[in-house]
Amino acid sequence: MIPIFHSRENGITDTGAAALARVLQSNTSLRYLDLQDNELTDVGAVAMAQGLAGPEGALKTLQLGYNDISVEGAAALLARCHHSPNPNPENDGPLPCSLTSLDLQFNELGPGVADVVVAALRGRGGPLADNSSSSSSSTTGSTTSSTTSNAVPPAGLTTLGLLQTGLGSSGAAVVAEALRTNTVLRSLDLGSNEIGDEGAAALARALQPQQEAGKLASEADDSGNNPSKSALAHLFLFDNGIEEAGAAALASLLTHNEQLTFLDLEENDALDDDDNLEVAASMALIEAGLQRNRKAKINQAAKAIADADAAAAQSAASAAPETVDSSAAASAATTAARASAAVPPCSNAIKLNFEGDGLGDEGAILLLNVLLEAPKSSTTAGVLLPELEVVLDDCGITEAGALRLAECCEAQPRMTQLSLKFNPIFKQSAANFDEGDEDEVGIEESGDVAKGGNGASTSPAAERIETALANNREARSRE
Amino acid sequence: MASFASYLVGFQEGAVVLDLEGEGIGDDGAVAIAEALATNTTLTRLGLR
Repeated sequence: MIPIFHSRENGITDTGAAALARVLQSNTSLRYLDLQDNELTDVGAVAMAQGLAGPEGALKTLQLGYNDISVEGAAALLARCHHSPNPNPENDGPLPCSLTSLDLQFNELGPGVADVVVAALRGRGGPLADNSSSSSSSTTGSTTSSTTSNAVPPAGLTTLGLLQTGLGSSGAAVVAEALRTNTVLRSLDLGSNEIGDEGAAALARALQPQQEAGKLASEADDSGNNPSKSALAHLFLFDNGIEEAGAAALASLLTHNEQLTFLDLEENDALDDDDNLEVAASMALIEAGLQRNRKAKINQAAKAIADADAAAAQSAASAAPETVDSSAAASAATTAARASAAVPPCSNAIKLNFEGDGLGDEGAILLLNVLLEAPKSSTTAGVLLPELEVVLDDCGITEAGALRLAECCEAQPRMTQLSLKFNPIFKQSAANFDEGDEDEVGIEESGDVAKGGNGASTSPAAERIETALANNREARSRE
Repeated sequence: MASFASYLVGFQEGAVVLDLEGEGIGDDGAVAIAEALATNTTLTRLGLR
């Protein structure tokens, strides 16, 4: 029985952090480490940075929020997270680490952190590393990818948390310029950083897509920057003092930008002024743009499934024997080869990742229609079609949406994984739970457990999903 | 005072997730966990908030 000390934090200092850091390079399983709300300083942050393994290491997510880390510690960490998969061998710096998610929220980093973020986004000591030709098999950004067991992921952070770190408007402008050429970072939290209209406008300019920014660049961009090809999909600008001018800039951005699917503008009080028609119009344009981009991403999923199915069929055809030997031994071998080719050992799955895209129930229903339109048989013309794995974490899906997703899982046998972590699935039935404010449901990575965050009872939808997925996986294993 | 061994029960049982939020384990606990991590191959998520 683990004792309870009634202490909010763990009281871990740089000494404990250094001990943990020392085992990170040799440990092969730990993917997520949360050291928030402890007593780490720059010394501990540097130790963690030095302990991080290279790009093929296990650790993907490191939470260091609510510590006493300054810009020096952040610099050490971010220097290990640069987006350069092929560093210059003459540069004696370390290889990029394995982290894809780093959270430094509520550390007093100051505006200077912008420069180290820029260095990380652009790759060590040079121009941006373009990961578009990396070994990732992604076909539509991060929306879809075939899961290949030995693929080395592209280097660099996909998620960076800088909530309340003292970035300010000048820092936001510096980070914005780096986002123009970012092809890796997908989620950036700049909440509570007092970036104001100036910072919002800088971000909006930097994230304009190529064709629109190209017009601007030919006219007035004297900084030599290229138009944006940013991969950023989720931008958190919570509580930043953004007013009418900032909202207008962001509305202009969402008119053209096709990548952003989530933009958090909560707690910017001026944007809640329903009497300000200019603000209301901007907010409507922003929401319309986000909705358009979400629907486009869902439509990409349909194409990705069709492409994956076609690729599986082509792979099976190319694996079939071209000639038939009439000898008995050859005949037996051919028969075995035919049997193997008929249902090739296809371990790939197509992964549809909508984490944080804010689909809500409406978007989830659009997506499940796409999933149901895919061939439902696991095999077609003797070909084993890829499994369908869907990630809908943190999408604002309620119990009602989850029930529709349960129906989808029951009707689509190719669905073998569905992740619904951090969705308000319990809210509608929370009154039935003794635990009270349950607002999250986590279906663990294995897909075997569907529990609320406090270990509360599972929701009816989650239970149905879990049962359907288990049945589908079992049926799949018999194929 | 609790034995640090109590924090390591999860390791011995092959846990995949271990959450020690608010347990006040301090540096001594962190060192004990680090030693356990050195040979552990099952834990994927470790919460020491």
